[in-house]
Amino acid sequence: MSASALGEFQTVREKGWRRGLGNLLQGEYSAWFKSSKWWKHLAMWFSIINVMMIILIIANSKIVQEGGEMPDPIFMYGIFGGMFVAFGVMVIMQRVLIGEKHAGTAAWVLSKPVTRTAFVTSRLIVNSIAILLTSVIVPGVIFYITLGLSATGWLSPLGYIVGLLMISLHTFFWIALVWMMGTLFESSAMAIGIPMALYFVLWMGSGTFPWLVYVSPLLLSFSPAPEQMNALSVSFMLGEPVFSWIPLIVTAAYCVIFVAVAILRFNRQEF
Amino acid sequence: MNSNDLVISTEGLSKSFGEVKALKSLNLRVPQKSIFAFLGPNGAGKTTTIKLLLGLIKPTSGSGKILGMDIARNSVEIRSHIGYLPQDSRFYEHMSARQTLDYTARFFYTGPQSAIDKRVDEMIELVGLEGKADRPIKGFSGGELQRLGIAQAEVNYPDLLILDEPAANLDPQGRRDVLDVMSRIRKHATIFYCTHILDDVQRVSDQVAIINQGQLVTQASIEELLAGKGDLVYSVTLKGDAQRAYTQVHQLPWVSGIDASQDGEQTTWQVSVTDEAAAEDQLMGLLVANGLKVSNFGRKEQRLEDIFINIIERSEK
Repeated sequence: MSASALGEFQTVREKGWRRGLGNLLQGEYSAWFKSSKWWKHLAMWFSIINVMMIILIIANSKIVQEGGEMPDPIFMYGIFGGMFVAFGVMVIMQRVLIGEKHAGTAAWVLSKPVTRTAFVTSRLIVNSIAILLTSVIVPGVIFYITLGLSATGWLSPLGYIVGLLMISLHTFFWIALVWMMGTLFESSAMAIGIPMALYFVLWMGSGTFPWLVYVSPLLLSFSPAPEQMNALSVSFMLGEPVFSWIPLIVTAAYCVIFVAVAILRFNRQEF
Repeated sequence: MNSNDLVISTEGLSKSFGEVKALKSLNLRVPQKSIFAFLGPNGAGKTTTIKLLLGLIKPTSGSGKILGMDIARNSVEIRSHIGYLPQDSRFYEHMSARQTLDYTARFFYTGPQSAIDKRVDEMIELVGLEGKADRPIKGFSGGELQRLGIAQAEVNYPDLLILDEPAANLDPQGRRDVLDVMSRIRKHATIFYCTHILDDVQRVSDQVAIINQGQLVTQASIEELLAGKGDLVYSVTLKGDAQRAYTQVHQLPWVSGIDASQDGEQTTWQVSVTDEAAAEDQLMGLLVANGLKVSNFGRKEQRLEDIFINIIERSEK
């Protein structure tokens, strides 16, 4: 090619592991936010979380008025925003890397000047932001307003934000786990099956083995044993003392391990 | 050949998948500005070689250089000088052809947008996708995807273009267009490509390597290969009793073999010779002196397909 034609261009300057990251992030961002994907997800989570919570709040006020008892809406939000979102994450994220490996687009992109670390982290970063926005942050803000307008009244915004961060970390744990599975396995069944089985083991097993709540992310979002302990999210939202900080530290550590394993594994994979 | 004149060079490049040895000690030399055809039957190791060159898989042993850079250590830098068309072109289905080319270009250039747009337009025109450039590629035919694949491989003005089956899925006109594009690109780039369409190889290539069962069988210029590296064949059609002449011709020192066939009174020989001048001077005279009527005599034009099949069959014996 003539030097004059090439001289027109500004070449990519990213170095090291970041080579190609900017364009990969831009491409992944476009796939989410310059298509109908983001609002379809938002509509789905609004229906699952917010519509259900509105129904629960109305039912709750009626039952309480009649002298009955019903779980607090904030406790229920921990279940809807935690457990349901976790299962949704497993379905969404299992397609991210394995889908690209099967479709051949991963091999195509990796034939360009990009590092594998940039490729795999771009998928984690954009999908995490998109999932957290559509399934935690926006539904969380809508729930805050709904709750404020109900008989419960307005909660402390700071405590509520920290509570949402707990649910976000719980969600990110499942995002990172399924994403890591996508680097370890070629089968979607494994990438979704193992996290789902783990979820049920942690949930059901914490009754028999109470120590499991300390080494699992579940307590960040909802309590498997609500009569004994509150979830961290619920404690922060209600301004109550936290039962234990250990689940927060352990979950953050798991996330770091998942990211490290996934990057190491993806760098060794063959396409 | 000086190593500086080589775009691709490999030394004992090998790849095993478990017990299967897909590539066995490949020593390849691809000169600059050549159109280099890399041939072999299915499963011979062609795509494995390309993936090794691109860093998509890692060699079990051996090494390789592209543009003087090590394929294992400088893979990302090498890929910034390469355009690659995969065997089965797959792109993001939510993107249009224009978006795909823009996305590809942005792995190399950050701007200006006007220059990138101009280059994208050039590529769309080059492969004849003007009417479909803004449609999602989800509905593209195999041929259209192949055209898009060629466009995205060329969008960054590569020094080396690696094409895995560039004419696959294309109609005759599409094939002709691809060959034209390759001929034009050779002015500024080296083209390394795999194909099964040997007529195309004969038309545009100047270097050929043949691989079989993971091993390089031969590498030569297209002229050398067509000339058979000393194994010329003369086709002779005779009438009369050819037995005595057959024995005499067979004993000549420059005759390496005779394939004879009979059709009624007519006998046809394919005489393989190692000395073209001797064959031209003596062969015809010897046949006539034996009282034979020669109705056809001439050097048989070699077809790459025949040579390819011969080489592959010999390598398997």
